[in-house]
Amino acid sequence: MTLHNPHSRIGRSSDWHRYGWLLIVLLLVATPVAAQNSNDGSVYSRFGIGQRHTFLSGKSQAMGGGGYALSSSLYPNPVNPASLSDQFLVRFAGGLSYQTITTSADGFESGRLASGSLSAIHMAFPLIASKLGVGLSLAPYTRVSYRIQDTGSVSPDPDVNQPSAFINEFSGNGGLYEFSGGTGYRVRDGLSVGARASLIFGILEESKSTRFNDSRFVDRTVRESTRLRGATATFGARYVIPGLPSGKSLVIGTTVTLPTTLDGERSSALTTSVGRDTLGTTTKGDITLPIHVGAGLAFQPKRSWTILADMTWEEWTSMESDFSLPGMTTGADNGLSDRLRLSTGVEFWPAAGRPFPSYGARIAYRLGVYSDRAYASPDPATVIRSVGLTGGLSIPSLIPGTTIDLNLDVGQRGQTSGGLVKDRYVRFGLNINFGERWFDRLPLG
Amino acid sequence: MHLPNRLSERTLSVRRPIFGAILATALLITGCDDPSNVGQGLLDAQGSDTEVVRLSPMSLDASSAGDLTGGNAASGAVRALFGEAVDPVVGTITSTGLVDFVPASQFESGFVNGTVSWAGLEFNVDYSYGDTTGIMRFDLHAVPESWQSTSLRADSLIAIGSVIASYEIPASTGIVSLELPQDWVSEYDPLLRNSEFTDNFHGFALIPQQADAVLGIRFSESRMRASTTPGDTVAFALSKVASLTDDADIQPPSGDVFLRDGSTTGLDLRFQIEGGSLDPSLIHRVIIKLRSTDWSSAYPAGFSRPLPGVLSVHGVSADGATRVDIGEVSINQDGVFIVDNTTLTNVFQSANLGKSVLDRFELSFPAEQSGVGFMSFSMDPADTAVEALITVSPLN
Repeated sequence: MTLHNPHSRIGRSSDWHRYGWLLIVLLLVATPVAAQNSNDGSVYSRFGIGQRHTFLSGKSQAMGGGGYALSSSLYPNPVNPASLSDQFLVRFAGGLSYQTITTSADGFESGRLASGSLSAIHMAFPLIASKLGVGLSLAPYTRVSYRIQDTGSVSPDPDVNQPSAFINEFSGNGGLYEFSGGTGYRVRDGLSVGARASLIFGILEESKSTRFNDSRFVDRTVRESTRLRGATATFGARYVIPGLPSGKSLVIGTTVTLPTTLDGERSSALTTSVGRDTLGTTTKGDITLPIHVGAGLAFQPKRSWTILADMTWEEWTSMESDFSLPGMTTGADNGLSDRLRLSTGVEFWPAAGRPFPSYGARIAYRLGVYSDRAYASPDPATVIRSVGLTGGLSIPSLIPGTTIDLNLDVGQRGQTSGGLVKDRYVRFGLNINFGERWFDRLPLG
Repeated sequence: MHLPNRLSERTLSVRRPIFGAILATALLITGCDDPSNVGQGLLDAQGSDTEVVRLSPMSLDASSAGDLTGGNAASGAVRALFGEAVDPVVGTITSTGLVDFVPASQFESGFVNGTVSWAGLEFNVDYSYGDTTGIMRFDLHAVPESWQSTSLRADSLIAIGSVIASYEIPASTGIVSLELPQDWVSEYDPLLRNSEFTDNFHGFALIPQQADAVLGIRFSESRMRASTTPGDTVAFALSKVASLTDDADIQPPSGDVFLRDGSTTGLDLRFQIEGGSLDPSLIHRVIIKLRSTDWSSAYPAGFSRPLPGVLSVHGVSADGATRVDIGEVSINQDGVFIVDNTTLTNVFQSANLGKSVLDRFELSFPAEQSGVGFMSFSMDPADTAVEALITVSPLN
């Protein structure tokens, strides 16, 4: 049987007009985002190998950030490769996020930072519709992004008290990305399994610069770059609990990502306005990444309501590193904590099951809440915890299967006491999901 | 099928405000950066402040590099120094001056075809060190071999010929005229009129016999004159100068190291920039201060003591093959040489990170000063006569 979707009209000039709208929006949003400094995130991202990022999809981001059991024909969900089995459209999803952070600590005036970044890019292809699918994904694994600026003055000759002002700036940027390809297969009704292979790679960069507004001083910046790369595998399963009354469903999902070792190289360089000088020799070493276990459930009491609950656990206490990392100690206790992330969320989609809903009814409304215990802390005795409230809208477009998701994440991280820092952040996310039916032959006659 | 069209119109009417809201949000949240020092306490040692570190020299001692004392009209030393002075602080300073001449212009045929009947020297003495009230006696010697002025140092060896004449002149500045003996005039008559005079005449050496001062002959207004009978008087311009020093009776001032202009020794300055009390750091500025000892009270009234006012600093590798010109600095009114430039800062930075081939700083007085004065620096650590003030930020 040849499938034909009468709404798959991409390629026609009128649709390019509509896609142009999306393109303009993306460009206009991406330009100011890109114009921001890329290292204006949380100072807590300095510790370990950066702040752990988990982005499942635009949908789950607005529902607390979980979604191991989530499966939707409207969203690729490559975090659980088992969900790839449910695709019947070729899907492309991508997103940008922009966040502002207000940082405060006892004894300091608060600061405000803003930065933008890529959330993720996902692609999913059905090989056998709703049976066997594959997916590709590029998403941040960790992110280092911080900037601390301090001013002071120094008298270069104490005998002649003529102080010169300077700015010390400590910053970090970069992070690890995960590029993965996976497949999901529906073993039987209600049970899907999947596997995913991932390349984890990236550069963690820290720099410190001191600048003077006086040509007799030499401004200097020292940068330390750690380049890491490795591979890992993830296995997932998703099971629909049978026997629930009609209109209700309960799905459980779980994934396990195996521990792996990243090969690394670290180098340092000193830069001035006139040149760059490598410091020392490049050192090589390994960093182990721990096992990652995720589990969640998705419950639909009615077709228009979806409730998620998820848990992520990562055993960072077993991490080993040949490189010194902030927040990590040498010895039997590496100074890290096991990461635990709990989240729950709800979606209300009024249009579910309605043949000709209004535009407002076709918008999905989402809310969520989460708690995230970070794996690294400046003070090993103090756990850095993030709690946040999420929400979002999924706005349909004229192109069937294509939505624009606007998400908001408001939360706080850390504490002001004990020499630590409290971040209050607002994260705005824009995600676009395209859905197309590819590789179909038009029916003849 | 009107419904889809109506739906499209409604959809568009709703979408536009939504897209507008997206744009407005994006623009509103742009440009609100205000980085602060919050979190500085989480930066470990790297968060330490920028500060000034004082570094005393690891060593400051005499080097074997003699001062460059040769020069010509274009470069190098500007005087030939000759004489002997008993310095109350450092002892007896003895210097032999060398001068050479070239024809000042194309000679007329009347001079070339005549016979030289008279020759004399005119010296512009513009420098005196010592007792300027007395008389200086010196011998004028021939220099039998060619010599290169620009590479000649205070301790160079130059062959000196026989005595031509002895003279007595006032040990003070001014124009000095000396008549060359008639037998020398007769002997050199053919050469003086020869077009190859420059190649075959190598000048005079002025060796003190009895003196209480060292005098300096400057290029300008110094010449040799010769006359034929009948005919013209022609001039030979001073083309090269040099000064040779005997430092056998020189002693550094007690408790000090010294650097003397026109001396056979220089001064090497070393700091432990790497691996010592100075951790690997970001170095933003380095100031080396050299505070000279004031010896003015040790000199009697009337003792002329012009002092070098400019100090030259080079970074030099252990084998001497690499030399980095750090710069020249003038002494300030407090008697302190202050070396402060980005070249010095960058040399310190490289050395601090173990990436420099330089081994020491070589201190000297520029050849253009052409004197015999000295500066000395106390070696007592309490005096901190020599120190580096280094503005640093922690590296790690």
